[in-house]
Amino acid sequence: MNKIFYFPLGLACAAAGWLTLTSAHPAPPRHSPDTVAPTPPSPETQTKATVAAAIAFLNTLSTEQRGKVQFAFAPQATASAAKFKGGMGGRMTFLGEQYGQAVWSNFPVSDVARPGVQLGSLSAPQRAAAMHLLQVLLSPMGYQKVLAIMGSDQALADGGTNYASGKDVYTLGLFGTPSATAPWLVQFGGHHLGLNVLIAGTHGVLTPTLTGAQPAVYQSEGKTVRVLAQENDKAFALLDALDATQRKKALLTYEVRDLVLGPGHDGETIVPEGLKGSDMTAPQRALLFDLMGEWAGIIQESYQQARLTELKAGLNDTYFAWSGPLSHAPGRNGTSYYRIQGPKVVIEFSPQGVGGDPSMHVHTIYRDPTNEYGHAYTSR
Amino acid sequence: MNARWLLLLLVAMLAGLAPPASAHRLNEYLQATTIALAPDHLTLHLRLTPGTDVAPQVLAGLDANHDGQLSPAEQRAYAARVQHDLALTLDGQPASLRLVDAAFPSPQQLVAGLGDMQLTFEATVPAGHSPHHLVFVNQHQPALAAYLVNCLLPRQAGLQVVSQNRNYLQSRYELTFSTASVMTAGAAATPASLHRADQRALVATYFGHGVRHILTGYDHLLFLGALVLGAASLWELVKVVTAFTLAHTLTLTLAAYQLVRVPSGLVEVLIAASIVVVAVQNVNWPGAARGPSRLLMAFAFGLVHGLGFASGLLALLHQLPREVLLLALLGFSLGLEAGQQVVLLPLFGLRRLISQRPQGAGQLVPSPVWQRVGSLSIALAGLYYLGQAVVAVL
Repeated sequence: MNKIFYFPLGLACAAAGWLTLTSAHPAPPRHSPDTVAPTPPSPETQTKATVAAAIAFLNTLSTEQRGKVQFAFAPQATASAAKFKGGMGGRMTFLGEQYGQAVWSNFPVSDVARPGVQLGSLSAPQRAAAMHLLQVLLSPMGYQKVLAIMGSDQALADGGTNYASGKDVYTLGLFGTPSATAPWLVQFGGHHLGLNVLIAGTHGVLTPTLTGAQPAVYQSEGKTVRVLAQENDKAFALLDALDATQRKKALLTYEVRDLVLGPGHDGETIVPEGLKGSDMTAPQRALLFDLMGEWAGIIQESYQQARLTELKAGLNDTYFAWSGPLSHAPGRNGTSYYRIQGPKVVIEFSPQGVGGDPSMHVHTIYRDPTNEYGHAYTSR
Repeated sequence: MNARWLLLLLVAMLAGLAPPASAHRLNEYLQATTIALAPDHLTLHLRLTPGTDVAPQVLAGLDANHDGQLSPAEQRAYAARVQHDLALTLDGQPASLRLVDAAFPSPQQLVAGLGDMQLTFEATVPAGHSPHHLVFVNQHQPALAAYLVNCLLPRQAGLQVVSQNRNYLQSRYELTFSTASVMTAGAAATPASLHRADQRALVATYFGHGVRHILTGYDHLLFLGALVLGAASLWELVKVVTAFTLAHTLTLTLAAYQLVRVPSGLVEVLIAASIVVVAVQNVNWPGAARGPSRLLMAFAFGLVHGLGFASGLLALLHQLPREVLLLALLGFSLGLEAGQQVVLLPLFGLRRLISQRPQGAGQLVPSPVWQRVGSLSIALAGLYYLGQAVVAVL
């Protein structure tokens, strides 16, 4: 064959190859608007909507209630391990993290009081306004996650606890004045939930946030709910996608019994361990990115873009470490600890074997060591 | 380990009998240590949290006179007992710990499972002798304990963590770190701090890494294959491969010492592109493939491949101190070259199999059909890598 034909032949094969590659990421159809996912509103529009929802909520409250829910916002470089005066001589102990007047903790509210109003203390319209504010702050996935966690605590309460539990004791607090320009912070949480959402103009920051569950599987309206199922299943999907060499790097040779960087550890960065993103294939990195999205995607979509971009940029330097069994019972969460650590993210998934079934009790944290409580946007 | 799981199982069964579910730690005494490194000393921060089931037991040990209060003397005594159960070894010598801070909760909080005891110790790091080797053993209340040990990422320049190692229960923790920050002109000289045997072992380890890296580096192998197919003679091939080797050794060294930094996404794209360019040149411009332009291309692309090798080496190194880096680099380069020969020699043998003597010439050249089929296949594979690399960057 004349060599003239080789080059076009090569190009034709290349084109075929390219089409095969790109078919893995189909472009959205341009001429059928029904199938195109709605683009989220711009951050400016979203912030205006968030401010409106917050003001609407505040307006439902009495003056006295407003005094209990709204606090000054005092941005600072780091949170301090919260010191709660105990016993004689004012001896201090550390039960969480304090940021100005905001308190971030995993403990039940009867142990660590949260600043703000409990949902149970609100009338029906007030509570609806509060939940609406949450819906505006969070993405649909994030909101469902919060409901599932609260439902889990309710199941715990229904079984009887000697501390405050259940949906009614979850507390909402506002720090600063809802504004489209000046920064303000919303805290929502209680047992196994500690959301920090800072709104600063067009930026929305969700770190640090903790999620958890106990029991991780419960019945609600005849359906079985498994809390943090995606955090579990996507992690196992990533682990299963690794080859033997990669898994060897990812597996920690020691057991990890609890969170390393829970509340009270602001500003600490540990030496990263595990399998590095640059040692993963592109599809595996995509799985890792998807897993991180379970936390990064809790906040309203309009605010996610900036965060997702920086997470993606750091993927090659993001480590995935695993400690524990490599499988889990179907329909249940696993009992293994895992950690994701990158230049701008620390995520830990820590089943708690505190005398119970570790697959039914889990604590997770989601941090950005470079931007806790959005201080990158609030410190001038 | 089995006893611990049996105990947990027993407690789990008993928990089924006990009415309320607990939010707190029950039968474990959590002891979390963080190590903070400084050039001349290190700080150990212990956070001790007894679970509700074991707290009365721990409190009984703390409150010596059982008056329901923790006096400063009792606190000091407990801190001393904890210190006694810790063992720190630095560079093979036992290091003494100095208690610098202690915070205790109230007994009520302790019993409620909310009590965190915080103890801070300091130890001096012996001067010189970098890298340092630390061994930390915690034997405080092993029957109840859940240990965590972590090293905080050093913030000061010159402080670098080389490796960490823990036993399964994290009761024993080993850390190697370097405090090297003084660079002399002889930084390239082999370090006196490592024994000869260690030096040899280091070079050997990285030799293995180098061989493995090139034998599993299909993009590099494809490039070499394209070079083999394009060469007019064995002598030509030797020249081309030498140019390639010189270039990649140069950039490997520069990148390993972080004197040159190119984003890895771009490097991957260029490596894939190099495969395509060389393979396509074989097919369409076979004359040029045997001339000086091929030498130039082998050198230029060798520079890029060297950057690719460097990222592979750096991933293994976790920022070794400079003097150790030289040995690692030496081993890795030798491994790469050895691996390259392991690949090239059979490839060249294969080339002889598919070769024929063109009329009037004395040299063996690959038959045009095989050369083209082979190069085209390599070009297609290169395009596949190029696609992947470009998608990864986007």
